[in-house]
Amino acid sequence: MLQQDEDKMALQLADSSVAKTIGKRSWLKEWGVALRRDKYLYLLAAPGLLYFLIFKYVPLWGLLIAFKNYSVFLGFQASEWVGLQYFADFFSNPDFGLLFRNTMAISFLNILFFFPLPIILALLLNEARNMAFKRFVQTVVYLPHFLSWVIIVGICFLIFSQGTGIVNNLISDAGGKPIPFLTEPNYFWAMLTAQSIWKEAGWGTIIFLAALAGINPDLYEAARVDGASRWKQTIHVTLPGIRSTIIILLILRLGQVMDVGFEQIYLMMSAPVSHVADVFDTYVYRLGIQNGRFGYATAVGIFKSVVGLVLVVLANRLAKKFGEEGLY
Amino acid sequence: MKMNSKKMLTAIFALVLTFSMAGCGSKSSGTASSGVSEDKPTDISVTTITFGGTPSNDLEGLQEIGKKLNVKLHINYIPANNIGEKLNALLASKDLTDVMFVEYLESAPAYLSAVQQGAFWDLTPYIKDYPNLSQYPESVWNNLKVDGKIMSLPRIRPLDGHMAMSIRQDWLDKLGLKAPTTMDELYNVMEAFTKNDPDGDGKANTYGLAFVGAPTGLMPMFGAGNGWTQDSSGKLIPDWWTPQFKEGMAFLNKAYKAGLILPDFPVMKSTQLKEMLLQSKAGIAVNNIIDSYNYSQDLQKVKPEAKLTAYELPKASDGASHYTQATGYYGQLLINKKVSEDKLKKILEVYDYTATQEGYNLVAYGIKDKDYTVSADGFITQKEESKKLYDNSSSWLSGYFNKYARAEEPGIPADIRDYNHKLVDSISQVSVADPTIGFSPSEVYLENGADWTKKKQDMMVNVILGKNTLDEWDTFVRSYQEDSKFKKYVDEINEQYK
Repeated sequence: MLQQDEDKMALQLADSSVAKTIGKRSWLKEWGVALRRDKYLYLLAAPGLLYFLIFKYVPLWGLLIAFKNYSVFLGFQASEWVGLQYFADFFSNPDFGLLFRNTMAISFLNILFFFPLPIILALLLNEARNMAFKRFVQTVVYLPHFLSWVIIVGICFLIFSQGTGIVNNLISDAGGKPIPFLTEPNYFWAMLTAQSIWKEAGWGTIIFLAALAGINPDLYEAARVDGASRWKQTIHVTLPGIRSTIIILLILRLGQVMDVGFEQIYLMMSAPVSHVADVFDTYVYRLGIQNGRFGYATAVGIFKSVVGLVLVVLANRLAKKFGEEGLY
Repeated sequence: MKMNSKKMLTAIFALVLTFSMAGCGSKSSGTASSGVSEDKPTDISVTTITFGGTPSNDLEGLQEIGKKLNVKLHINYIPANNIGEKLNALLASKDLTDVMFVEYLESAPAYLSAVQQGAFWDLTPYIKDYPNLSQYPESVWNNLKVDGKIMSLPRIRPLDGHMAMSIRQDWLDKLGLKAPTTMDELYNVMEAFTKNDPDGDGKANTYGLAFVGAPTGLMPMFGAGNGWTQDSSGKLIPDWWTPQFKEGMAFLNKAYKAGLILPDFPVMKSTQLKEMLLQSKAGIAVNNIIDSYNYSQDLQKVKPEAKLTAYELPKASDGASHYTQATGYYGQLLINKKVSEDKLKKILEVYDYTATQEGYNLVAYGIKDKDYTVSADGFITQKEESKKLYDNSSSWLSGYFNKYARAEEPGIPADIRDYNHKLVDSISQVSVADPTIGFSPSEVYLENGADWTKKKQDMMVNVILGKNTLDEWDTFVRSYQEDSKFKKYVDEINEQYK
């Protein structure tokens, strides 16, 4: 309804402004001309625009339930308003600090250790001479991406569990003391990061390999003529060639800093590591989904998105300041 | 030209509008239909859970019922793994079938509020008209009530038999031990199972006791009660505030420190409990009476001499064995208010018929002598191919009440069956029901319950692991006794208890 009203208003506004202001009029006229001239291009773009409108922008209205005591049965309209209560509840919740620390720590460990790996891997693959070897390695490193977290966590248990895990069986056969890999809070973040790397590092190389393929071969030739070694070529030609890709991906990655992968953490979480594993996503699941407080869950979701947005904007500014292209 | 561009604009807006409206609009059609006509079969749609197969709606058993009662059944099966979220999505889209399964209304707040807002039929005045349904035990109907009204049909289950000690008989015999009857004896047997190499492979790779995650299911054994217990002043308190509960944790902590408990228990999933027994990793567990027989069948494929036997639980420090009484159902079936009263009666008729053994067998096993045979002592043997066809096919039924359902199984030898029946009989004399079941749900619990439960369970596990001390457990309990929200919850429970 709201949407409809607004659109009507926009139409009326457009109408009246055409009659009133000449500046607006010429703008509209120009636009009309452009529309007619490029009508097929607009037609081509229409499905994409509609997709974003329908599936990305229209559902944004749903965010309003963060301010409502949303009851599924009563529905969107009939649920009563609660204002900013959910936000107040969330920030005053005694666990907030813990959740924030865990989310940030896991996320930044990821950026620090996981993010550079696909770049290094892509560089290595790029240097591989034998095509068959390169293809083989690519296939092998892509594979884990297609395994679900359930399977990966399952494998992890088989390898690292204390009573039946392979590693600990070896350790105890060799006379050592079993190590509680899965239940020791100090290892938990490292475990998560290692799993992410194992699963996604290979898949992450795709974009970088594509960027690498786009570097002008003449540059390498020129560098070779100047006597640059393989290493020097990497430093002075390859890396600068993919720098903008790296920066854009890093900025985008910062936007997801609050999303640390619900599935993985939920599956890996157990009582002894709970205080280092509980993150916003698991908290939302517990309070929002399990207890059916959808409004509250949405409020937390909005908070996460706002933090992500702020980081993206800041990072983009910073990138521009240093003369990089940035996102927009 | 100007006109043209304006037209174009309008057209675009119109297009956008249509689509955005389509995006916004809620689908209200649903699948629930309300008509009942005399000759045409009534369509009845049911959404339910499945733990395995999704049987076809053309099963002969279903058609037989359709013919008999002039109905056409449409059953939707949802896998158990994430049924909670799926059901919430169905509710949100208003796409409900005539009959809806929920596991427990207390753990499905969205459905609970829908029930309270009148989305489903109040069955209280109808049940008495259906002779087979009204034979369910009174306590089960009481357990089901929401604000004093029967809002759902129970998927009926026995009240007792889910809590017995399963123990490796062959290990006991080999080490010359007897089944433990007290907690001290239990500890000694656990120790022997861990240290005296009961499987005889020369390696210390066995454990006394297996359980998974926070052992809330073991605590009643120590006398902590079933969910809620009366304290000395007659007030109800959560079972985990009792000294018996703490005693149980002290027992498990001592056993863990001595290495008698499988060290991976905090990270194991509930299905792995069975694996630990089947792989001869652990010698004792608390589970359904029938599990001992079933697991023995699997064990003996690898080790013919292996055998699990079900025993009564060891006596707690007060000299008595303690059992919880189950709610008597697993899953509740709600009937959509959108169906007419006539159709409601038709639906209840179907459930009444399937609450007889005859009706139940049709859905669960198929056609007699074609899909299954009945032996002289009344046991059902299903053909292999029918087993596949009818896998989980009874999961939409309320079923018929069988006190011994957790103690018997098609094909069980008569001596084990009689032994198991006796176990159930003696357990049912002492088992205690949760005193708060059937109470109106507390708002503050619905909002915070999942978080409270998680924190309590985390603390339990950490105390057993020795990461937190028993003194810290006391502090933890005290913090909840003083927490304003939790206090409110306890007060609300006690108001209803009076």
